[in-house]
Amino acid sequence: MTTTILKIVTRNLLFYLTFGLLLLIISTFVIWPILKVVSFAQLENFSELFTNSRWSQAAIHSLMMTMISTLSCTFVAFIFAYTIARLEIPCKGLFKFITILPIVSPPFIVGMSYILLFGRQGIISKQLLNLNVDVYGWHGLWLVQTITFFPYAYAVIYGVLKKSSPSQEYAAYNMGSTHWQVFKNIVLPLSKPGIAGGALIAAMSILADFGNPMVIGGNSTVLSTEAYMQMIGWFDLSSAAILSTTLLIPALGLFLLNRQWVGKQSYTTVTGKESYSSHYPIPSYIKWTLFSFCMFITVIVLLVYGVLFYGAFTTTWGYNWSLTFSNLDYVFSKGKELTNSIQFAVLSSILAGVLAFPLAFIVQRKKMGMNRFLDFLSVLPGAVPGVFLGLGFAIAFNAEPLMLTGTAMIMVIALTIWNVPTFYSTLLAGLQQISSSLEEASQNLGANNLKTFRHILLPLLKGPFISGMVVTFLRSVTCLSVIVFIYSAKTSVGTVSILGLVSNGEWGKASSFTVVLISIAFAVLGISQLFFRNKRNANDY
Amino acid sequence: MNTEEIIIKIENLSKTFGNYLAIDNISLDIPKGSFLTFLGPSGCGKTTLLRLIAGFYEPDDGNIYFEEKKINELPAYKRDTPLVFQEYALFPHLNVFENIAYGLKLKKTPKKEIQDRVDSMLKMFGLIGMENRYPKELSGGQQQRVAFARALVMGKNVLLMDEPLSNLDAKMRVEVRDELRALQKRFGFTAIFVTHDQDEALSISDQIAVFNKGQICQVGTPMDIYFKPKTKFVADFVGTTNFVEGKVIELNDPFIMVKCNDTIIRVPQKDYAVKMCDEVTLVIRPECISISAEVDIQRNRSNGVKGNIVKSSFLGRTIRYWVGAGSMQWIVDDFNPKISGPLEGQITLTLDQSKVHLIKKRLK
Ligand SMILES: Nc1ncnc2c1ncn2[C@@H]1O[C@H](COP(=O)(O)OP(=O)(O)OP(=O)(O)O)[C@@H](O)[C@H]1O
Ligand SMILES: [Mg+2]
Repeated sequence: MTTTILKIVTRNLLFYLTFGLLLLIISTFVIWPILKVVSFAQLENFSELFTNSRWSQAAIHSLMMTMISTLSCTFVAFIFAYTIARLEIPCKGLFKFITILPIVSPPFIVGMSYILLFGRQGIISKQLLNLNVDVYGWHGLWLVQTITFFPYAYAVIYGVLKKSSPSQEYAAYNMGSTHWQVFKNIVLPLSKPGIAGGALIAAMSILADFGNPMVIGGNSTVLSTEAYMQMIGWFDLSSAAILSTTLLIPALGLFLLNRQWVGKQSYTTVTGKESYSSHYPIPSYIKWTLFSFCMFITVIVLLVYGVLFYGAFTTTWGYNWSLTFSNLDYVFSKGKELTNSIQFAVLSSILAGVLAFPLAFIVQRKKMGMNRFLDFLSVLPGAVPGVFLGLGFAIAFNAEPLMLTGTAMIMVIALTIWNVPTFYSTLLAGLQQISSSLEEASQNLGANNLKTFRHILLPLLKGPFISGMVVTFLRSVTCLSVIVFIYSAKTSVGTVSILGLVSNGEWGKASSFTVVLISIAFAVLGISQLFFRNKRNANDY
Repeated sequence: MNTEEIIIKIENLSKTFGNYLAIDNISLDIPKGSFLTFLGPSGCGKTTLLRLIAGFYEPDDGNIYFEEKKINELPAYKRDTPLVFQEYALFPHLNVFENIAYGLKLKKTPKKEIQDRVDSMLKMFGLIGMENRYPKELSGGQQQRVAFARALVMGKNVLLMDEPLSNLDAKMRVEVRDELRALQKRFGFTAIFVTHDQDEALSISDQIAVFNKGQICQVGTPMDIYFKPKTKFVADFVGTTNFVEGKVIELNDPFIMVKCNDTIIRVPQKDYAVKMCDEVTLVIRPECISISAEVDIQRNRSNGVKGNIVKSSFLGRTIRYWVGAGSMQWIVDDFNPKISGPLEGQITLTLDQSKVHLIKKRLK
């Protein structure tokens, strides 16, 4: 018995070594930082959450904001998804474009534009209406979060709507139902999983968001920004830990709910096939109402980007509207931050792939009991709010044996870990599409494991690999929350500079910095799209 | 068969998945150059045994020998047992030529030779002009040919096939299976073929191994399997059968007389080890019974049964009758139906005694 076990172990030595190494890496860079933060927050200090009015305010704000913004996000997202998936309307391309914009933009961009439009020096509030109102606060944040995060919910809802065939709708019409009945009895119930999944994704993102509340929250902080204030303003690590842990609990709850309820059905593939089928004509007044609604949102989003571009070339926002290139000059004088952004993003996208591939491979291909656990670990960093992860890194690696504070390494590792879940999910979905009989066929024809990997798996996973790398790159370049606790003077990046400029009210420079970041992101996205178009798409198989 | 060279020997092989015993202590000798078919209902372990031979699973117990070498732990890529997958498993990112050449390239075959060997495969399978197409640009039948070519091009002594014809339409199935048999005879490789289609198994094989619940119930030639099934399961799975329960009442060499209800059926003695009073089951195929409208047969005319037609169904070449006789119902095929229409009412069945087969009841 022991000899057979020994035999099995030696034969799969490489595999067990990989497995052990992965566990070690995840424990060190995911579990350890989480435990560090949680244990840093002493239990008795949690009572302060109720006694300290600032903190309880922040907690309530976080929850309220998440709730109302999730509702509005899901509402907007559903209308977008329904209109695009089910209606015959013009401008579909434009609407779809709008929904991918936030993914290539820094998360605080809508907040910034909002201030450029409605702030004290806002082009609408001051220039057009000549008002002097306080727009900072929860109303503004609500609007901003809705615009920022509805595309996340949209992606999920659209995926589900697109997958469900309209034949049931036809059947219902055929039996004499009215449009409203069909909508209420067929469309809505069928999109329920999509709506639930989309709402959960939106809620997780809103709850964890740091950028927008930082930019426009004003005096009403949320948990993530309050934690940041405690840490940066008062170097109060313990308070920051308590606030972050408080944030972690609902975040984990949403995450678990998402896994339990929505499960794995809502993978949206990158190279999805579009199936064309004509849909039952909806009365034109409904159609055009929905269209107008989408157009209205679209105009707002375009305004967000337009005003940012305008700001990038304006001398002094609110006072001197003359055009200038000096802001851009300033950005390039801060070349260090830009190159840091790009370098860290490139490195972390490679590393995340290196880490995500064996994880996805073992979970998908090796049947060995630990799979569910490993799967859970792989997506766990996605459940942890960025601020929490950053704080965890700051605490955990500020001492021997792993003294990483201030290094470029800690930045790269944090970004890598933060992106592993998305990369992993992309590869997992890719692997699921490749029947394991292909690998067996390859072995059957004489290829050992390594050759099979090289000649079969790698070429077939090219698509998921590239999209995983692109997404990781984009998320890293535009990331703020994770790194805000761990950057140093030498390792500062673009988004940190922008935050600094915003808090100093240097809107021109902040906008042009943002514009440059977005341009880089778009360039990368464009190149990858070209690549996708040129290559034979093996994943259609 | 014993004097023939055995290429694959399977010895007391077992394989479990979790608690489920998928292969239950199977032993089997596969003669070199033979065409062996694994036949059995879905989920009985055919694929599992094939994959054990190909090396995708490791046995829990027992041994597999290939040309007298034990290969239990030999990894799949060293086994030289090309397999035609049920779902083809063509590499979607490689074109037809590259798919077929894949194994040869791995073996570092010279370019010229690869070209020649692949070309001859393309010719043989009628794939000329499709070299540069990708699998998804081929029809099901073409894909299936590429799958065959990819395995055959390796020129090995063994070819494993897991229901390779199941995705083809009925006509094509027959064509390809005849082609396949011809190929196998021409090249002389040992073929192991999995199917759950009994017609396919009977028409193509030298030997058939009938599976049930992870065990092999019987190995034999198609004729043996069809006419001399060892168990009720085999008889029932291969073709339609009338089972008649009875009791041996007389051993009258060369016949065994069996009393079934109120009829006495005469069974030719073919080494059946039966004693007086043994409980037996007779296996009588529907086409081994003739049906006639005359009702008044002589009392002692052997193997005649009187009955009533319950229903009939016209199938083109045949008419199938369901005939009630006493407490039992017979299925009878008439291969020469009269143009005037099916028979009705009272009839007489005559059993072709040379084809009546006897199965001894297992003592439980
Ligand atoms: N990898 C596996 N894990 C668990 N159970 C398995 C596995 N492969 C097969 N089984 C089980 O073993 C039994 C035999 O399966 P097998 O695939 O050999 O059947 P089969 O005879 O080829 O059937 P079919 O004609 O449907 O292809 C089935 O009950 C199946 O559920
Ligand atoms: Mg099978």
